[in-house]
Amino acid sequence: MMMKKLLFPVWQPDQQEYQAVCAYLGLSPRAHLHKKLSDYLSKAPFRFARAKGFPLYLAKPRLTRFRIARLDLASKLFFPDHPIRHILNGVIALHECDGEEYAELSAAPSGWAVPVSLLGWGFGFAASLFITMGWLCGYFMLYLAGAPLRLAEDLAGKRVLITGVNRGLGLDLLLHSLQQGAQVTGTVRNHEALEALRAQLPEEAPVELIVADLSQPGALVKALQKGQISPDRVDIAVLCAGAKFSGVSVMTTPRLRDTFEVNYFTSVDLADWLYGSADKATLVLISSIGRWHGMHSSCGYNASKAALSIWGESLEMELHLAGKKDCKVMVVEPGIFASGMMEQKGVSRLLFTSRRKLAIRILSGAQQGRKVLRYPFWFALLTWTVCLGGRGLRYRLFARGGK
Amino acid sequence: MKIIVVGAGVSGAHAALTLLERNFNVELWDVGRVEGTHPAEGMTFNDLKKSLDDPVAHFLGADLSALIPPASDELLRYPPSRNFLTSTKDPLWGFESDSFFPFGSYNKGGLANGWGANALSYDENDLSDWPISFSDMEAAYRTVYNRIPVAGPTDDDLAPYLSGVYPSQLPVRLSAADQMLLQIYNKKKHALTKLGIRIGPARLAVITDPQRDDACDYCDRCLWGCPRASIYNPALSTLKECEGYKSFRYVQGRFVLSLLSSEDKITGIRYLNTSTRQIHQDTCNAIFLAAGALKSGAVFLQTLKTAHPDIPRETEGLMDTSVVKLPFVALRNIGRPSEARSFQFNRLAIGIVNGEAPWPRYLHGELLNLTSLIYHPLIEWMPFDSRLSKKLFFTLKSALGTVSLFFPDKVTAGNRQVLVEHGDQWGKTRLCYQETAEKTSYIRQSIARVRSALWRLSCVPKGTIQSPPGGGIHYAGTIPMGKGSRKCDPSGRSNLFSNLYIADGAAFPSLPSKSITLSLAAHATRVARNARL
Repeated sequence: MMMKKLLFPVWQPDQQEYQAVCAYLGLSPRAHLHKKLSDYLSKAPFRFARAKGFPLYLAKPRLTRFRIARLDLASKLFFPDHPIRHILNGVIALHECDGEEYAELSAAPSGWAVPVSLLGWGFGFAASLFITMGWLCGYFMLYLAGAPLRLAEDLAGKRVLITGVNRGLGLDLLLHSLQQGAQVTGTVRNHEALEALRAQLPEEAPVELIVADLSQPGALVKALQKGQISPDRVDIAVLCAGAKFSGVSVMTTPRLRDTFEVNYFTSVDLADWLYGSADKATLVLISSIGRWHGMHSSCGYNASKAALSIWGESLEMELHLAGKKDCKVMVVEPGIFASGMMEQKGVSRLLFTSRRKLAIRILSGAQQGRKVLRYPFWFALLTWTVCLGGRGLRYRLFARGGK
Repeated sequence: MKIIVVGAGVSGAHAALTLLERNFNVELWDVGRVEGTHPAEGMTFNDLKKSLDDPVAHFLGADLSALIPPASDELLRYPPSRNFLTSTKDPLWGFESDSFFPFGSYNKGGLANGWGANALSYDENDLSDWPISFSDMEAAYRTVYNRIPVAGPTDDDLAPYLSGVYPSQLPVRLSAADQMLLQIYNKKKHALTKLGIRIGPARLAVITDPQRDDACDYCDRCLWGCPRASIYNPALSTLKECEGYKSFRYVQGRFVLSLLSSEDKITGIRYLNTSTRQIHQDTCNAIFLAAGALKSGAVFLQTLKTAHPDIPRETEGLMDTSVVKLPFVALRNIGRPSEARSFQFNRLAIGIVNGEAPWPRYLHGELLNLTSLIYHPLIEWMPFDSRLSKKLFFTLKSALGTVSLFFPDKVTAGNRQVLVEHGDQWGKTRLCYQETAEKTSYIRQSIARVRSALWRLSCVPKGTIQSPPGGGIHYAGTIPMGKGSRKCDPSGRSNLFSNLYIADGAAFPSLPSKSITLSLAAHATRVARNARL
């Protein structure tokens, strides 16, 4: 499930990136050393200084041999805390401890080859310095040019509450919050999920996990109170957990109630708890772009999301009227992304968006005080176009086409 | 008569053995943690990497806790497999400070589990601030050199400054790189002598006699734990000797907190049972404090708290050896192939003679050629990108070395150990330390001289690395010899309590430059030998 992917990609090189690092250093990649490196760097966000601003911008793209060479020199000269320094240092440390790898690592010229090699390395270094400075200047210009569109990515000192953190979007939100320096309170449905998640997160991760079965009325607030979580301590609350019963009629009342309990009433309970005493907090409601149209056999999923979106807007109005201008409500209406509710199949893959990117945008939007986030926006446009086509079109596309 | 020796390091071991030789019953109390065994005897450092199932876990720890991150001041971190050092997170750790960062050990053998093996004696000049002279210490030194075999020459250029050292073993084998440095030294001796520089083979507490089973086999693993016990370790030799006496009892799992007293006598001892975490009391007739200068100082201050509430609960002194490392590249050793077998610690010593200064006349240094270290912090420390740094490092490795200089210390106003009144349940002391302007200036001048000498030795010096206060590992002077209630008399007996003996470095009234270990052993031996019991 979770460990198939890396927890913190800015710090942890994947297999191809590790191979590129080894190729750059003239070493043979070893799977067992890559695993050790990856485990070690999964703790990096909690042990070492976090890259911010331009160094973070440089750390995001995938590592290739060319990029590694540039980043190596640039970080040595200007950004000593850059993740690439930890990656290179870690690779050298691991390879030097392994007998066979050490022989490869320590291979060096002797005799007359020494001055010749030194001369060659000197020229090589000068050339690398020249290329790196040009590359760095180019990237810096791009960084400056992109400033107006840059996402906010610093949650240091902030506490984020996220529901449903053991998988899917909730897990991505958890990992990105941690990577950005937040302290996270996360809810999971049961103890098994809690233990499984705890086992996979680094011990140092500032995460407080609590169990709350959101299908039970009032369960979330009860669990928060039991965990002695004070609303004053929460800066951002993301209601990510959701329920969807596919293939179940919209008239199946008990399931419909469950859907609304998790997707809608939990938000109402939480808002009541949060804004009862907190004067400054952002509530993020994960709705759906599907809230714009009906959907058969979903047991009211789209209806619950429509209610959530409209209620969220209503809540914000009331908060403003009450003078709580620092209490913000952000409604997120994402397109399709991989989750327990949606599976990527066939051509429909083209409609899917990256869950990781969505998580980054949600957190950024919450920090920037956005009211609504529809991501990807082209999917919202597509949805609205379909909606303009009338019920007949929607029936043909969703109900009959789905048969 | 019940005599308790507190601490099983060098001082405790030699105090106990001396008391046993005087036919006393001795209990030696200690926390007594034990380090694991060192695997694959006979195998070199590099062969060990190939033979272990998980060499990464052995050298860096399963969680890579010994991996030193970039931009760190550290150049070496012991792996978890060498667990003789106490972490500051250990519940028994009883010190706090913003300015002094000490090392401690609760292992049987104490910090000597990982000492650098340099075996030297304090001479008359070193002892000039002491109320005793070398002649008072000489007999104890001779006893200690009989107990601890020391390898080294007797007639080199350093010998005039290292009186009181009695080697019984052949000097440790020099590497080709060492021999090259000595050759240059001999050629340029005139100019170097003018600078006050003397170089010669190190005096090391290591067995080199090939006839002995425990002789050094040059496996290059000194730092990683000598698998043959060739390097002196009190837990493996002196304490073993003690255990041969029926009148000896080693009591493990006791962390001494304070002493109980009545008038001018110690009557009991208060300790924590480290297994049950319960505090107990026991009676005794005499105590030898040998828990290390800092822990002995802490026990003394806790004792004062109840015995003499009118006396300030802070020590008269706190001394530390400042260590400065000067890395260098020996140009003539560039490209020399590394040797398969070697002695890892410094095989050469360097002395800086201060002819005109009253004290110290001799500043001790160790000339170390890099052999079997974990190198990633050094590679990361180089000012180039990792790829070039790696290639350069291994090309220059056989030419890389450091001079480590050990700066002496004196009791200075303000440098002290203070009892934290509302510390945790087992008591805490605060360590206050600041280097004096005089010491800083002396360090600067000495560095300049050594740099100059390095250039003459065809070595290119590069930077300096100075350990923060406490990093020198040699601590002393918390209950120093002298007059006053918080001091001890020249025989090591407390001026307050007639049956309390300060058998470790806490009693030293100054801290000379030379390596402390043999003097700790000699002091403990002398104190135990002269104690009026």
